[in-house]
Amino acid sequence: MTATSVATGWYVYGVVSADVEPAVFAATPGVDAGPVTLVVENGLAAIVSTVSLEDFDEEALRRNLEVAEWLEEKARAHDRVLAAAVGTAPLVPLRFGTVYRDEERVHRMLEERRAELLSSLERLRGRIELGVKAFLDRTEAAAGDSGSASTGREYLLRRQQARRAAAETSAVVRDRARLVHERLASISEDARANPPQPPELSRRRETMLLNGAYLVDARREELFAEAVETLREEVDADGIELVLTGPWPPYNFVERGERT
Amino acid sequence: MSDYPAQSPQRYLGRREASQLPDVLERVLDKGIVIAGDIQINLLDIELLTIKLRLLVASADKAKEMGIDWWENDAFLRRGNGGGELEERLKRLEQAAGLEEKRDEE
Repeated sequence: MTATSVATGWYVYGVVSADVEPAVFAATPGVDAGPVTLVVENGLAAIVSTVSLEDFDEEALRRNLEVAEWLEEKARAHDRVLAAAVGTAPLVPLRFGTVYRDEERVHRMLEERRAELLSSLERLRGRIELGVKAFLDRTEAAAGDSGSASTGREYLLRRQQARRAAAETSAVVRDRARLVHERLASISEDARANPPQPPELSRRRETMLLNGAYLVDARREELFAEAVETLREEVDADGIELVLTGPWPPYNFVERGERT
Repeated sequence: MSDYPAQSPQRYLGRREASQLPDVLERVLDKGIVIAGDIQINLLDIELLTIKLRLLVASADKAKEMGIDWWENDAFLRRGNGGGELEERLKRLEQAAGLEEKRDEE
């Protein structure tokens, strides 16, 4: 209540090289609605905004994570800030929820991790992340078991055939999805196949077959989109739908773990 | 420079608003570099969050088989309106169990 020194924290979104134009963040408010600025240290810049520790100290964060609306709003804000730099400068995204107690600590972080950050930025220069998800349209795949059986034996046989057909279909579509990923990976600088999202998360009834992320040369974004379009036509007959997302900050293409 | 195409980056922003929440959460919470801040969400919290989501999904599947969808009102996945979710959940469970015939609807 009274101590002013604990009221404010420095929320860090990511790191860019210091020659980035600060104006790119002018239109995107931070997670706490305040302005987004840069903390510059020897050629590197941390993208930051101040946050109230009432919302962002450890205890509050843990509590707030459980509130869907809070999490959605803040996660989207985090992503939006980083997205403002996508396509203008190389960018190392930080995971949601990294806060320092004062600006000096942000400077020190940039200094301590300088070598690693510089090499990541160099690797990511001129590249963007694109996402491609593949969904199986179940109505397409589940055609077949119609009609009624007159005997129990016939019924069981039919059940068995239907199950076998379904298994074959699923092997075929999984093969297709793998092929889609391989083709896209072959025209990317790097690629990841993440675990497919379960239906309640994807908010779609269809089964997700592929949850891919691709690191693509920014100048070849249209080529990549055309490749997705071509693949889309190819797999359409198998009841597979492709969804292209992004460009994203390269979340999937930075080292995840804390290294010392 | 020539590292990036010349179009305005702002064109990305419009497209992003339509981004699916799961895509955003998956990236923002689970990917990205982890740097020790003075304050940060610890990995365990993220794990718990993921587990919670998975559990929720597992029970959601079972619930759907039973014809109830209480997760719509779960405090975590709930979107939009606030209170009354416990009451609502109880009502749905009662209905599903056939305990509550027609208390407020006919």
